[in-house]
Amino acid sequence: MKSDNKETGLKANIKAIIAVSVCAAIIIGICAFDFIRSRTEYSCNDIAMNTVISIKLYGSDGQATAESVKSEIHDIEKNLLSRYEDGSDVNRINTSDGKAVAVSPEVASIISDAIDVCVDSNGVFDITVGKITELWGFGSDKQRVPSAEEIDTCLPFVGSKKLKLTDNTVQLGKNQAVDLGAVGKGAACDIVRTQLEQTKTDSAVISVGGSLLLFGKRDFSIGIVNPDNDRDYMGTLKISDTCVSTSGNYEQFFEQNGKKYHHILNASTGYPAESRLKSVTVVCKSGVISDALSTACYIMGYNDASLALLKKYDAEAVFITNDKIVRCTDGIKDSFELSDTSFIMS
Amino acid sequence: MIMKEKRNITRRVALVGVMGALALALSYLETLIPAFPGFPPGAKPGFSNIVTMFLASCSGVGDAFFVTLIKALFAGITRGFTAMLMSGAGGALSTAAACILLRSRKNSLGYIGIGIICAVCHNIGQLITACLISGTPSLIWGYGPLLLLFAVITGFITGTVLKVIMPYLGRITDIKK
Amino acid sequence: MKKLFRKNDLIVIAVILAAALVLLIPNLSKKQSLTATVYADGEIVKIINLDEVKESYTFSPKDGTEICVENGAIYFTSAVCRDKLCVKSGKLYKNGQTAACLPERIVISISSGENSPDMLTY
Repeated sequence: MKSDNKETGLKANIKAIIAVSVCAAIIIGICAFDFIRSRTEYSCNDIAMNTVISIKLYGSDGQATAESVKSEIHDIEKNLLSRYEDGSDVNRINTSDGKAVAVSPEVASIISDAIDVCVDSNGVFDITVGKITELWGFGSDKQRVPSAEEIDTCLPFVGSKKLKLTDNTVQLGKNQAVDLGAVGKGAACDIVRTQLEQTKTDSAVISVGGSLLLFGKRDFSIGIVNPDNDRDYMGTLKISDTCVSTSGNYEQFFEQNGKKYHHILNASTGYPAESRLKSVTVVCKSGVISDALSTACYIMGYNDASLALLKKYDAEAVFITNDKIVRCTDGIKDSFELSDTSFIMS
Repeated sequence: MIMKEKRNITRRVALVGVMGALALALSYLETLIPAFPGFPPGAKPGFSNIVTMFLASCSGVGDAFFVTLIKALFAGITRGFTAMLMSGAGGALSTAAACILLRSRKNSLGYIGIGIICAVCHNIGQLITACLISGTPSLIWGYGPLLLLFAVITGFITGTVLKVIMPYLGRITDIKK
Repeated sequence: MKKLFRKNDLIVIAVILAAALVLLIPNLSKKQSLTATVYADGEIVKIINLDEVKESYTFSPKDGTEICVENGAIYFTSAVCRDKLCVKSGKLYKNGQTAACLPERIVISISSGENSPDMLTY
């Protein structure tokens, strides 16, 4: 009896040891593999959409994925969003002379989402502000302050309500022009996100001219550029799996007669928005929406209306006022850390 | 002979059944404890491990793993797939350790040491599962030290409790341990 | 019958606590690049990655003040202030060290790259 017990005891022990060792080996093997795979980082830069593209990928096939992301962004610019390339959806819409134009589902979805924000912003943000943007000519040699008459003539052409979007066809109102500049970079982020889901990328952070895509479960530290010194950052956000967009008066502006004119136009007045803000950074899962919201909130300023707008789209934001006061929405307060003490947290 | 076997089997089934229910009850009670800040959600003291440790030492290895499986399924039904994997991995490792340590004739470790090792195994299993599921191996560095410390404390408690009630439980299974 | 507590149990506890401490190490000594930030009149005029400096060089954030940059260190070499405390501060080479020329309002500050963000939004 006693020897029986000893034997079965020993057998059980050996079985248990073998089972545990196998499990442990499997688990450690999986861990090591995953650990190494996710630590592999591939970074590169590119120029597209008239801006700098920065890519940081974590996972397998980093280089191949980065190359395909770069070419995807170039394709997006060429076929969908460029105002000047013949054949791009936006170009065809703007040269349609009021006729209905068939567009790709991506552009239809971008326009639809953007118009939602246009309407919710009561028209101060509007993607059909194209004709007035042309008058100002930001970024070109012809940049100037248009006369009041020029602006008054063009204001009636602004209004997303006059744009008809049905299925995948767009029909502009008379003399209208679409300007997707405010949402183009965010749109690229959304498209790249779908692209990355098909790859072996664990996580990634991609900057399309300052509009960011955060992909995967990894937390990233995102620096908000100091509006007064664009080589440095004034604070960081610790976030993951979302999109980030910033609109500020320091990005594109010119001076005429001692006054600064920045490129974020209030679509209802035709003039650069005067909202006493230096910049707004919006965090929202959708790239198009975060882009649109950052522009809309910049134009609207820091008030109940913009806060309600953000809440409606489940977005968070960091506002920086002209007085260097930083205001965060509730959902992002804990993720933001100020690093430049010349700014004041509110 | 046959009668004795039948009675033993019946006893065993009854024992496992009661122990299983006890383990589930303890598991459930633990979920009522609010999550401690700084600990990953789902890392609980593991008092239900007292049951598996008892079964590992006084009953069969199979019985101990059976209850572990039931605990995992219960976690899966009540708290979701992730909870099931965490409970399963932690429980499997912990029960395996208990089987090895409690069934060995050597007396090199006291109940406290064994309890601690089982608790550590349980937490390691949970931690590794959490890392794999969330895809962030950095959890090891983040929660590792804390969980190990926690395991020392809970292992101490479960080991002590087991030692205290062992004489009484031993009577149920007619085994002097 | 097994006992409640044996000497080996203490070994077990010690091993586990040691393991816990070992896991804390990566958290403390992450590899960071040494960065020096030079401020003049409260504004950043230069950010230098000291680890990447190949040849020493000097520059003047303001007339009369000279700062020398070498691999892994940065320091004032000359200043117009009266007490020359800035120059006397010597070489800066560690995280957190600072040297300042108060009358000229020039500050050199060292930070490790640990806090640099993964990406900037603008």
